[in-house]
Amino acid sequence: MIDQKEIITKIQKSMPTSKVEIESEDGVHFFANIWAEEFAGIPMLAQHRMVYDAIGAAVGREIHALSIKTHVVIK
Amino acid sequence: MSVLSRIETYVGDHEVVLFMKGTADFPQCGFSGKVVKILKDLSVDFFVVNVLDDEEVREGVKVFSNWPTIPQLYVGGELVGGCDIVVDLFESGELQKMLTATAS
Repeated sequence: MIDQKEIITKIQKSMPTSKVEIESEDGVHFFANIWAEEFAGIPMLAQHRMVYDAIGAAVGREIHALSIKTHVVIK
Repeated sequence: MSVLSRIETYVGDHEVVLFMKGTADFPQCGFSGKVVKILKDLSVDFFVVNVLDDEEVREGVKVFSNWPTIPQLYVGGELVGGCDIVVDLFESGELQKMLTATAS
């Protein structure tokens, strides 16, 4: 099992300005709201890829599904 | 034929391709089912690849697109995204534009 704090730490390690809210009812399906300056000027698909890459191999394994809502923060 | 070239053929030969768990009539996962419903609501013809029947493609498509989850929707040979993005694009009307653009 992977816990939410671990996911948040991974996201923030690769996106230092990010603010992350994450929920899960069953510990395998997660829903994340992410605010970050790093998303500025980046198409939605690429934003989601950034998040998946930040979390790494757990996505698709311990994390069965991760629904993502990204929000651009303008400096 | 390597799995990546098989995937390339699927994506290249059909306008709209959905890699999903299950079939259009019997989706085996909620996220796949949501995308199927949207495509059906838009009465779009789409080619389905049931990754549950093909373990090689199930993993290969994640490498092909550098996208770690299923379902994956392709339009005009390009990855549109997974369930979240398809829902977002549908709600904003963007998906309809993409589908008519490639259909003409």
